[in-house]
Amino acid sequence: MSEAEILQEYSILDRAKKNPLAFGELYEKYFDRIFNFVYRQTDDEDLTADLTSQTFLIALKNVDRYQFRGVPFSAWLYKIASNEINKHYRKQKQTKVFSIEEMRIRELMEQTDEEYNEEIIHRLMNYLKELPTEMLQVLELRFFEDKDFKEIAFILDITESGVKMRTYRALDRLRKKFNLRIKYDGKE
Amino acid sequence: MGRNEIRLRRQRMSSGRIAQHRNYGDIMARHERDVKIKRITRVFIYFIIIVVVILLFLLVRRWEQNGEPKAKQSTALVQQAPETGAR
Repeated sequence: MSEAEILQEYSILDRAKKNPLAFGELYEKYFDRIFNFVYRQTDDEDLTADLTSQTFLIALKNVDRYQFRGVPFSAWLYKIASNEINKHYRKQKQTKVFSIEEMRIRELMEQTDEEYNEEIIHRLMNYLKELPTEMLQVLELRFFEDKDFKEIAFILDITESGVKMRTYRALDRLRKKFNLRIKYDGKE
Repeated sequence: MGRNEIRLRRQRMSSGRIAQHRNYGDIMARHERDVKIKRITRVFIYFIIIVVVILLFLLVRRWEQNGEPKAKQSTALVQQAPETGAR
């Protein structure tokens, strides 16, 4: 995200502090992304719609308190959404769901030498099932939402080194399990 | 048993379908309702504080008013006692 875009968002936020209608611009801009992010962790359309609305409502309520912490405004929305999802699962005492798009997996597979087929998908699903929730959250934000380490650290409220450690550990397991040669950040 | 349930979605949700859930008017209405409730709660709390302060003030005043004649009576008794004793 460029500096000009960040500044533009700031001017919108400033206006939103005085007039909540101005927040609508940010709502329109980020609604789809937050919806997809929540949907991936619920796989329930109505629940996703509720949690997404709740996310934007909380953001609008607390827009006065928003402070720049070196990450784009969207990271704050992701953080609120993530908290709302966790709150929902705590309340319902259900197993957390991760619903991933086949299309995105295909895109990621294309970056490796591995051929895409049903067997690979099946193995990948089993691999993901074994991963702890913290690792899955990091992988989701890194590979499905294209967030950088700093943003992920802010969203999940952990340190940047913690995010890196979780990512590399998850990828190491993936390499061993699949015997893949994954190129990641220039490392193989 | 797995720690999380992993599901595979064959198709991405279309932006048209997501747009069906987009409703900033509803968010605004909920926000305005919350602001109104907050404002009413604040006014109610101020009202309660004022009522409590007034009640305390009235109680103290009443206590002071009731306390004054008793103090006078006891002073009068103390003054009368030595006279009775002398006779």
